[in-house]
Amino acid sequence: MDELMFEEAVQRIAAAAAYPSTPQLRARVLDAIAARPPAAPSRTRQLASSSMLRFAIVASVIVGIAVALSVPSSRSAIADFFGVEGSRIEILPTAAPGVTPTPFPTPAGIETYATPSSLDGVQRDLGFTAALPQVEAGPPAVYIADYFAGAAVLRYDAFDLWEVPLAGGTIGKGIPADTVFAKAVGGATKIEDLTIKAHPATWISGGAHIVRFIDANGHEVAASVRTVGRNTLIWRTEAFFYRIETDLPEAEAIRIANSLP
Amino acid sequence: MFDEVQATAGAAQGDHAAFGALVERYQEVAFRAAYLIVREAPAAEDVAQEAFIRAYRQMRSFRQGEPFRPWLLRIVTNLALNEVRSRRRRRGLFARAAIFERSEADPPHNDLAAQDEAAALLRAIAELPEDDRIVLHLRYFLELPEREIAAAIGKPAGTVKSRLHRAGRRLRDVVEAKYPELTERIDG
Repeated sequence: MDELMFEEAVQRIAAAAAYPSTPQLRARVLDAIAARPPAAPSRTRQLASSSMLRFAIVASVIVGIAVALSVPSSRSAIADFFGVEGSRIEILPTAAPGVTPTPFPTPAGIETYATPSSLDGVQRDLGFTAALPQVEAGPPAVYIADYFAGAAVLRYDAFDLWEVPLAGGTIGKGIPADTVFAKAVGGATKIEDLTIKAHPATWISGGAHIVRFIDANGHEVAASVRTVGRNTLIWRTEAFFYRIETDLPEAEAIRIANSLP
Repeated sequence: MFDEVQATAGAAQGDHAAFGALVERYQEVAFRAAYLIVREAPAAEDVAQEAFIRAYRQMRSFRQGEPFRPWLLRIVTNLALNEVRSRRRRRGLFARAAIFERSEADPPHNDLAAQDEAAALLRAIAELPEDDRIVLHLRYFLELPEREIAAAIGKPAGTVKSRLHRAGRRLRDVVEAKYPELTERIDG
C-alpha cells in the first residue's frame, strides 16, 4: 500500500470517531469574561500602600512531592522571602525509605506554555514596557505566557527572563493577588537567599523543580504546571516579580538581574 | 450570517457579542481538539472554555484577516497538553496516556465497528511522541489543512509536511505491529 492510500485509509477511519456532545460554552465564556475584566498594569504604576503591597506579593509554596525534603533551611528561606500575610507552606508526604521517588516530568518546550509575541506586543497586550537586561546577546525572542496572561518571557540563548507586573491587588492581568507561585523541589535542590538591588531574591539550583500556580481557593491551575530543569533566580520589587531560568552560574545570573534598569 | 472578519475585529475592540459569535462557531472544534488530548469530557470542556477566555484576552494580538481557528487551536492545544502533564504528575504517571475506548457516554453511532476502529486508531496514535500525536489529530480527526496546522502549532508549512510524513510512517509501524484489525481494514 502506498503512502497516499494509507493516508486516505487513516482519514476514513478517523472520520468515524465518536466524541461526547459539544458543550454550549458561549454564555459561560462571556460570563467569565465579564466577571474577570483584565487590568492594565503599568511599569510606572506604584503600589499605593503597604497593605496593597501585602496583597500583591507573590508567595511561594514548597511542596515535596514523593521526595524527602531534607532542606529545612530552604523551607525557611522561601518562607522568609515570601514571608507575608497569606503565605503558606505545604509539605506533602515524603517517600518512604527504600521507595524510589517519582521523577519530575521532562521540561516542556516554551511553545507549550507561551505564545510568541514581541516587545511591542508586550506593551500593547500587557500594558508595560519589558525591561531589557544589559547583555551582549542579540534581541530576545519574546513570549506571553498562556496560562498567566500578565507574564512576559524574554528568551535569550543562555536564559529566560520572566517579568510579571504586580499592581493593585492583582498579579499580571487580573489574577487575584492571593494566587501564589508554588515550587516543588527535590531533595538535591539547593535554595539560597540573596538580594538584587536590595530586593529579596532566591537562587534555586542543583536540580529540577516544578513551577505551578495555586489559586485563591488552594487549587492548582492545571495549565500552569511545568518542570524547570535549570537553575532559577527569583526576585521581586515593589512593582514586578522576576524570574531568570538558566544554566549559567549564580554570579552571572545575578549580574544579569542587576543589569535590569 | 457569520462573518469571521467582522467578529474578530469586533472582539478585538471588546465587543462581547462578536466574541460570542466566535465561541459558537468554534466551540465544537475547540472541545474536540481538547478531548483528543485530555481524553475526558469534563476536562476537555474546562480546557475549551479557558482557551476561549484567554483568546479573548489576547485578541489584540490576533492578526486581523488571518483565520481564527488555528490561532484558537494553538491555545487549546497548549492548555490541553499542560492539563495532561499536570494530571500525569498528580497521578505519578509519566509514560502512557489514557487509553481511548468507546464509552457509554459516547453518542449513538450508526456503525459501531467503524467507531471501534477509530478508537483503535486513537490508541495507536497515543503510542507516538507528542509532536506526532498533535499533527495527526489535527490532520485526520479535525481535518485541518496543512497551512492551518502550521498556524496552529506555530511551525512553517514545510515542517508540518515533514512532521506529518514522519508521524504517518511511525503510525504505520505501530499499526502493523500491534493493531492487526486496523491493518486489515487499511489494506482491505
